Amino acid sequence: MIAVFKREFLSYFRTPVGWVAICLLGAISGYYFSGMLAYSMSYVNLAMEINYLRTFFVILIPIITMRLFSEEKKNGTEVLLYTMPYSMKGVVIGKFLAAFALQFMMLISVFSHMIITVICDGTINMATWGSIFGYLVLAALFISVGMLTSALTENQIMSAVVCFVIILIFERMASIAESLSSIFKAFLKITNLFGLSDASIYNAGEAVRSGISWLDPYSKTSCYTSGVFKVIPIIYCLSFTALFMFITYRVLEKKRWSPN
Amino acid sequence: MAKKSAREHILEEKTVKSPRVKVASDERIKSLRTMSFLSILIIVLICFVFNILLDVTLDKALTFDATSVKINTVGTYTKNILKNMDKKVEIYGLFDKNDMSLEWRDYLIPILDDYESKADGKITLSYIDPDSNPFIIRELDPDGLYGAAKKKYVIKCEDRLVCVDPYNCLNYDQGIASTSGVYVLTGNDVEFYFTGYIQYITSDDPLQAFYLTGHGETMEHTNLDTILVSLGIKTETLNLSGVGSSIPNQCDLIAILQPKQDISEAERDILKLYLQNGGKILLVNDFNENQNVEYTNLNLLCHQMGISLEAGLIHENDSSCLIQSDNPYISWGHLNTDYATEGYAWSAYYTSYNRYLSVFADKPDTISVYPLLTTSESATVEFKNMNISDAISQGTYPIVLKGVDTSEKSGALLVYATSSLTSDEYYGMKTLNDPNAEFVRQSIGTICQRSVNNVQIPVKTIPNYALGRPLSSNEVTMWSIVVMTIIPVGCLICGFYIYKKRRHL
Repeated sequence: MIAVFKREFLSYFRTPVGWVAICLLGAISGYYFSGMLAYSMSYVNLAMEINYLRTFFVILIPIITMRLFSEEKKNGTEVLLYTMPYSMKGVVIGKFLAAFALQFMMLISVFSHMIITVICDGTINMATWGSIFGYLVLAALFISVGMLTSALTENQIMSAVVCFVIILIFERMASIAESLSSIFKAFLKITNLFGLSDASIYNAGEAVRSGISWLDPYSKTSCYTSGVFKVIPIIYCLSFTALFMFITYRVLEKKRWSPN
Repeated sequence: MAKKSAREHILEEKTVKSPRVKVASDERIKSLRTMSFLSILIIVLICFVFNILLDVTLDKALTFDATSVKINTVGTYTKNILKNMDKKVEIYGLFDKNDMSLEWRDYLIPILDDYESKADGKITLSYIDPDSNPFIIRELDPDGLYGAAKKKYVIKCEDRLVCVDPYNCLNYDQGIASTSGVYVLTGNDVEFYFTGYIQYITSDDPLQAFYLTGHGETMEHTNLDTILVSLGIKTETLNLSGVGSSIPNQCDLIAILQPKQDISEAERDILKLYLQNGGKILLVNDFNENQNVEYTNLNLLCHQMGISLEAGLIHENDSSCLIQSDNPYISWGHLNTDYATEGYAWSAYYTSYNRYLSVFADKPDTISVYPLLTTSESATVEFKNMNISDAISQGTYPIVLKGVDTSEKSGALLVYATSSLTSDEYYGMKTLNDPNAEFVRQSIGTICQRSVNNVQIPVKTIPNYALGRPLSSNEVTMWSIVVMTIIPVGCLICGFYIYKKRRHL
């Protein structure tokens, strides 16, 4: 696992991928931070900045995960992975940790902003640290999603596109839930399938909305920005990270033992 | 028999040559696939069930307020209220809980969750977006009396209802707002408001106040409504100008807010009788707006309670009492501790354009008049169309006078010389934890003999994210270059260099 982690992590910096990703996040966060500095009262709230950066997962995660397994196939080195004398679990965990470490390194720009804020007598509090924590937990979840899409497809672009779509769905979960709830209510009302009253139709629609909204990792982890520390969102994100990693592992195991 | 293709021949040969190997391989793949599918399915199910169970059972218990001032946690005072509450309260947030565009969202949702968890099931909190359920507003507030609307909270207990605007629960920095137009949040008053409202809607005996109408009185009294509600007083309007009009039997207070016209003789008689029978009246003046109005009948009514409204404006001469050094009409009013004895937490209150009030010389013997709020000792009074030099002598002048009937009936008249104690304009950027609101609550509570449940919940300070020292434009430029150019471009150059070195490897 450590060998896979080292190889994968260093490979980010031996190619432009890691540097471009850090540059991209640095530029976006820098733009936001300088905007806060230039604000009339130099009102610098880093929790807001980190919250804003979460919306860029949809671009950054596919960039750093698309090559995890697709690249191996492209270079023909996947056979090495399958024939290595240790478990595929180690490979999956090693690659995940490498991508996560890169994501952590990408926060270097945010840490530099924290230093500048301290130099300028600004405020760094629990909300700031909580936001970084929420950011990393969410990043772990999306990296596992990206890793799975990379394992499922042979083409890097296809992997990135699928990952992009999945993260976008997660990001827009609230509005998707709202739309599906409205569609469901309209469907029940038009078809009058079970002869439900208006109130029952509304409740059924709301149940659909709540059910889908419950999956939304963005709203679950938004509490950290206000200084509230909740354990359940961490468990949610980490358990689903583990789930996606397990599915990735099963996909690779299947490929490992598949005759074709 | 159809002729076999070459491929079919080969396949047939292969099957004949190694039938056992083929069957074993197929079965192995099939079992691997089944195992893989089942294991994934089981793990997915476990993951969902585990998370749902945890969410339902332990979410509240595993939530911690990590802020230094416990901004998301209710205090001891509220905990006691919730503990002793014997009625069920429903709180409705009329918006989408996940709508991140609501700037006050993070200041209300966590603390209201805490209310729910500390109330042992006596408070139910739900969020219903009127866009997805258009009937909810009509359901909660069928006649539109309480102002239930989208992006507001509704607190309900049995048939009583209160509507809360989240913006009112937050304090803004007035200095920054007035100079730059930017609203910087400084304080969170959510607990103060919600606890006060919960106390009101669960109290057993709400009093009834009426706002007199028909004389151009101000209708902008949302904040006074809130203050009265926090005293357990519900409000309605009352017009006495019609023929045969009378004051309802259950009327604990009549508020006359900044009238632009005098009352009629008939109204004066009705109100006079009301006072004689132990009624309570609050009269708020606005000299700045209504300086030319002759209040003959209103003044006769006030004389009955030993107070006289004069056509003069208070001029504060003590510079230490001035709020704006160049405006002698906006000043701090001082609490008269001889009469305002209990419950007043502040000693100075913001007042502006105070009408000159005096104690009526021929007041009845049974009437006692108390100045609750006064000017400094060096104030003077300017009369209309007169110079400052013509002002009457320096001295202490009342800003709030209370006339009380000491006979059995105990009617009372409370006169404010300024509208800044009650007007929505004053409370525009303040919350009702403000000293003026506290004064109003205390003074009205006293005349209504309402024990003022002074909700002692201080404003929770919202972290100030403004930099400790203002940055010069050069510094802003320098840091902007560092964060926007040096760090990202440095990374890009590194990436390009490495790519160039390794592209042929």
